[in-house]
Amino acid sequence: MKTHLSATLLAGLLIASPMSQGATKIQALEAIAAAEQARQRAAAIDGEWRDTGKLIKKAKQSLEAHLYTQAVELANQAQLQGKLGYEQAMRQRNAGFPHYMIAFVESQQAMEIAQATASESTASQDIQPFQVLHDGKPVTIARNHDKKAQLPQEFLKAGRNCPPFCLQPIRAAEGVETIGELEMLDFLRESADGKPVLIIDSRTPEWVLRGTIPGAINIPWTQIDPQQQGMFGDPGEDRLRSLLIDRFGVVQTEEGGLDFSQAKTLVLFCNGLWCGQSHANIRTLLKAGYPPEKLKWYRGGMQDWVSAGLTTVKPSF
Amino acid sequence: MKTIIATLLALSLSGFGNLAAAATPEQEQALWQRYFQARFPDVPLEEFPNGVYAIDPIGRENWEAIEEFPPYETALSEGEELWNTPFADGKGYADCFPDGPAIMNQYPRWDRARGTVVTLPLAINECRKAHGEKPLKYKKGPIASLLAYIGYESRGQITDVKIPKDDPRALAAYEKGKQFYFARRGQLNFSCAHCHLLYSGHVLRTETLSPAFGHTTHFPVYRSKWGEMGTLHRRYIGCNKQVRAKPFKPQSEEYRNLEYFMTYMNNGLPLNAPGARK
Repeated sequence: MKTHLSATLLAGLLIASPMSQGATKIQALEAIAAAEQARQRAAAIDGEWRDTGKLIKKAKQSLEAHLYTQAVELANQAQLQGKLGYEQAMRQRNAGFPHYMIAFVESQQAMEIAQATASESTASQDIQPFQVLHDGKPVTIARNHDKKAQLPQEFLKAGRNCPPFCLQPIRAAEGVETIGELEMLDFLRESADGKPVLIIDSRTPEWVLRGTIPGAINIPWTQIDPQQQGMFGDPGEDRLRSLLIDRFGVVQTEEGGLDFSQAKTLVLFCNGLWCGQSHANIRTLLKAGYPPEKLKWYRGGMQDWVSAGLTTVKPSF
Repeated sequence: MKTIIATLLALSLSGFGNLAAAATPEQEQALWQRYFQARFPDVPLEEFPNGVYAIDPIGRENWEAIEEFPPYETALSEGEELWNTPFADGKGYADCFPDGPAIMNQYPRWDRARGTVVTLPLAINECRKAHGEKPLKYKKGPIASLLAYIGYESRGQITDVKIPKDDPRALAAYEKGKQFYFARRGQLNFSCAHCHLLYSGHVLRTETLSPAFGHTTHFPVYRSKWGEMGTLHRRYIGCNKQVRAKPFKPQSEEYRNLEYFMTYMNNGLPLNAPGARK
């Protein structure tokens, strides 16, 4: 088709055939008559081109100026245009809705049908929205179904240095289970139902301000690290101990030791696979004697949570 | 609900199955409208009458600025005056068009008695002739002003061209208009559809090609390139010349059939004439 188009263009634009020297008046008259005939033949089936008539007019002017060779050349061009215009119109006699249009609409419709059936069948598999309490207020966790939704600005970045943003292994520590989004959602449901489960955002507060998983409490890794001194100089050791007893359900024994048998299951997360903060918290907790089977690590963290289009919440003040 | 949609889609899909063989105008209209809606899924139906400004945000800003003091306003007042000025015999346009001036959605229409497509400009000149007035020229000038006024009064009417089933000549006129639309012509070997269907939304040199769906709703237009008002057939002539085909006369049978086909394709779209275009 392309070849055909360019051939038509070329033929139309260029002079049809080189003329031998010195055409006669009779040749010019004949060429003009033939051109006029070709033009009319094309016009009769609505196939005349824009410049054919002008070429014939110019040929007639050349004839009057006794420029017979030039007249023949112009008339030949016009004749060729007439011929091509006629042939074009004949070829296009049955023009109608093109196949690409039908194909395009059909493929679109097939896609819509596929999407309609797919969303119908996955609707039951996809997560059902549920409510959790966050800072004492109910928040519904659901997936975003807006197909134009984009990642939030803070999770667009792909260039980071290690340290501190080191890639994390699949396992945080021996015996500590690594979990994904569906397991995280189950733990959130359990926590909301009053089961002894705590969801812990291990990130420092400035990260939490940008959004966290609804139902999570913030326990920054810096807060319970015995190596780090607190803001008022209180030793990390003491802070960890009060946290374990006050919030994690650990019981202080009469001998001053710690009983972890009633301790809550802790699900820790931070920014994701490039974040070591929950890892640090897990190490601290294990050292304090927390049973590894009661620690869960959501390795994907906020990066994966927002990628899945799951609800996030910003702290309210 | 979703099952119903899927079923409907499946049904309409099968409707296009043997389109190439023998399709009805209804099927072709559905195909046309679905094509453009699939090509421009973010454009709501009622936006298509705005042409390229439905799909080109920068062009739209300029256009909206232009529409604050519309360049067709002079034409509107001229047109209103023309409409209300009696002919030499004391009669006026209102005698020919008793429903007028808001009559744009009644055209183009199939005239059974004469076996031809009657467009609004043709009807206007026939009215003039019937009352002993000279016909107006079809491309620009007073007729464009008159059409602008009628169009403005008809804004919001819905395009509703009918192809009477009991007159095969009406279908033949539609088929001729369709053939014209899709036929390659001129030295450049282009059809109308190449630019305004297949490549609509693409950029040709500096201009975004407007989708054909909606082309008929806003004529006559004030075109900045012309610096004045012009009719739909004036635009046809420009398009034909651009592909280096010899244009047809305004209100020729070819162009009236083309208008019949194009307007029928746009059934359901609100009228928004007159328009302002580059």
